Amino acid sequence: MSAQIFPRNANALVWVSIIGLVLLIGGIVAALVGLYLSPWYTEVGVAKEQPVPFSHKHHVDQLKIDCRYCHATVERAAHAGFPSTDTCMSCHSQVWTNSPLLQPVRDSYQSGESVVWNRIYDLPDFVYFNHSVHVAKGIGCASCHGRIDQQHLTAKAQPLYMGWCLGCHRNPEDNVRPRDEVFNMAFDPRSLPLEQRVALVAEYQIPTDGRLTNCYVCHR
Amino acid sequence: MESAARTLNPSRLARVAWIPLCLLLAACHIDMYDQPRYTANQPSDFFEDGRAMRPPVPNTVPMTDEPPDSVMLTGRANGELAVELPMELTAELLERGQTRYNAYCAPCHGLAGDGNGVIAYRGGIQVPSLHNDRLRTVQVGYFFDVITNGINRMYSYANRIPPEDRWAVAAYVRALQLSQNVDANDLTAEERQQLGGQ
Amino acid sequence: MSHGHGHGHAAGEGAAPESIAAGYELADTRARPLVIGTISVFVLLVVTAILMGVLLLLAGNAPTDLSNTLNPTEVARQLPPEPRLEQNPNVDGDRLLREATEQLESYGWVNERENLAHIPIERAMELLVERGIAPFGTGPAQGSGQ
Ligand code: HEC
Ligand code: HEC
Ligand code: HEC
Ligand code: HEC
Ligand code: HEC
Ligand code: HEC
Repeated sequence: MSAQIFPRNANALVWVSIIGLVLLIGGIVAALVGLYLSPWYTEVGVAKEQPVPFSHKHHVDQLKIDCRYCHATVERAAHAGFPSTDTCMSCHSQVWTNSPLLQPVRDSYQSGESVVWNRIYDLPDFVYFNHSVHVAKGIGCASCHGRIDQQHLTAKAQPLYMGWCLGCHRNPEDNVRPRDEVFNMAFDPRSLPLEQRVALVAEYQIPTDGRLTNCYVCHR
Repeated sequence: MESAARTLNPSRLARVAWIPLCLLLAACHIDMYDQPRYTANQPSDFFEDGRAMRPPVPNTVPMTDEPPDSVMLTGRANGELAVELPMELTAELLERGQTRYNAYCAPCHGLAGDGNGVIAYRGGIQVPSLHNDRLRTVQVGYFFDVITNGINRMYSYANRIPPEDRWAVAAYVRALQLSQNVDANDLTAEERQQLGGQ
Repeated sequence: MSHGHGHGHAAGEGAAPESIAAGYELADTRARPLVIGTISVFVLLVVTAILMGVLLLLAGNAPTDLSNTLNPTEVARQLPPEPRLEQNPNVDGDRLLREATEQLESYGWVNERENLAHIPIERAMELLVERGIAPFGTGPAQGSGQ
């Protein structure tokens, strides 16, 4: 008889292999998902090094400067823009004039070469985004950029996944706020009752018929 | 036994099982993420100053309905500071001016215009109050001019505040001055009571 | 792992004589250790999660300051050395804004002898719309010292 005789534990090994394989595949998938959601990949909460350690906490929360003082085009254009050297110098020609931290800013003012900030929020080039429409329709900076006024060094509050954009485009009433609260970091839209927010959506004429989730709204 | 395996054919399935793994490869190219074109605020190695956003060439004239030497854009009529706004004075204009003032001027001049803004206080900048007789009697075009061209230690805000908004701020500065310096006789009896005293 | 797994059959390596006689392995799988093993892995997972939760709670707050994700030496390198100019920055800023807002929202005297008052900014804006910009610029200061 030339039949293969397996040792008695062979059956156990089969089971171990099967369960192990399932667990392994599950584990790999879970690890990939974890990686995809982790700050290592999404950069959420990870501050980047900047030429000048600019602090929003200092300038916005403590010195009470409005976002528009530095990101002046946010209401008018697609891009909020970065402050020009001139903008920093409007104060720092008189405040902290000798700080070594501000040397790059002063150099830039002298030479005319821009300070190059490392981008924190950067959508892929195949996505169209526009700040002015969101600001005009009562979506606050904090809904997308989080409590940036509490950050010493700027870090992402959002991985900027497509599902996140769509989530709000489906249910704008969850995030809409009165226009004069757009720049108020501490305002929580949910502090308003739902009916009031629905009324705001109607007042601002935000389309709720699903038009906002059409692919060409963002991929144009 | 061999033929039974053939009919079940798991090995043939196994032979194609790697195909889904190709999807992993597909996710790895990013040429559409960073397309070979310039976007706002990008650095550039093409232009000498390293900027992809181009500043307008010298002597560029803004493309608006207004001629470049109009009151709207210069704050001056025939070389003299404008006495009147180039637009109608409305409540909306003042409200617009209020938001602009609070964003761009209040850090130094203070919400009330008394020169006691947070920056002035913390940074130790000497900022003059807007409530003095000289500034109360000056033409409204003067404020426009200060915002547009700056004055001494104060920088120009022309690149951040468009001309229409500069006029709104100028008008709001007037409202601020009035609010801190009104003849009590101009008020209603009710209001005078709220003043207390007398 | 299989050593000494006597199962009523002859102990030792290799297949039992019954299996050899039959030509295939007769013994069933021993599922128990597998089930126990699997369950204990999952129990361990749950226990670990609970333990971590407890530890996080004990450690006080979750890491709320998003910005301090640079390692401490990096932070120390980027921030200016102590003492910083500001000791209690929020208090001053809030106080200045509150005072200015109060000033802008109330009625009161600026100079009672000269009959000069300050009024809420909303009211001043209404008044200004009524009067127009020009009188300020051309005439003498409104209401200053009559
Ligand atoms: C005093 C000037 C100033 C003010 C005021 C200011 N910012 Fe900024 N902001 C900057 C500078 C400089 C950068 C670039 C450096 C950095 O990323 O920290 C920046 C970066 C950012 C970024 C990240 C941009 C990117 O993708 O790299 C966001 C988002 C932002 N600011 C939002 C805000 C919001 C919201 C406010 C108002 C609450 C505000 N800023 C107020 C100067 C300012
Ligand atoms: C609907 C979500 C959303 C809101 C609301 C929003 N932003 Fe952004 N912001 C973004 C996204 C997405 C980007 C990345 C844009 C890109 O990569 O093109 C961005 C980028 C920025 C940048 C980087 C420079 C730029 O223009 O790309 C700044 C600065 C900024 N935002 C400031 C602000 C300020 C200030 C406000 C409040 C007035 C604000 N944002 C409101 C989503 C938002
Ligand atoms: C409206 C005025 C204003 C503007 C505009 C401004 N700053 Fe500042 N900044 C200040 C003041 C005031 C301080 C610190 C004074 C203090 O410590 O209280 C300061 C402090 C700083 C510091 C030192 C930080 C610390 O914690 O000691 C840095 C770095 C800085 N600013 C960078 C910038 C940059 C970069 C810009 C341009 C994007 C800028 N600032 C624009 C007012 C301003
Ligand atoms: C917090 C809510 C919110 C989030 C998050 C959000 N949006 Fe919007 N978006 C709106 C609202 C509200 C409008 C206004 C729609 C209108 O009235 O036309 C809008 C409009 C737009 C428009 C213009 C649509 C049009 O043609 O009128 C574009 C483009 C857009 N969003 C892109 C994006 C992208 C890309 C993202 C993700 C990075 C995003 N939005 C995230 C709320 C949001
Ligand atoms: C509200 C804005 C918005 C709308 C509407 C939208 N997208 Fe997107 N889409 C995005 C953003 C933002 C990303 C980038 C996500 C990222 O970087 O992970 C994206 C990414 C994608 C990608 C991934 C590309 C890649 O290489 O990773 C595909 C595919 C896509 N979108 C298809 C669609 C289709 C199909 C629709 C219509 C059903 C649609 N999108 C509608 C915002 C939008
Ligand atoms: C960075 C702080 C700062 C900001 C912001 C600022 N100013 Fe000034 N402003 C000053 C200083 C300092 C002076 C005194 C200039 C001098 O004579 O040296 C001044 C002077 C003035 C004067 C008086 C000129 C005179 O003849 O006495 C007016 C009017 C004025 N500012 C209006 C404004 C308006 C309007 C804004 C908002 C668009 C503004 N300022 C924003 C700092 C600032």
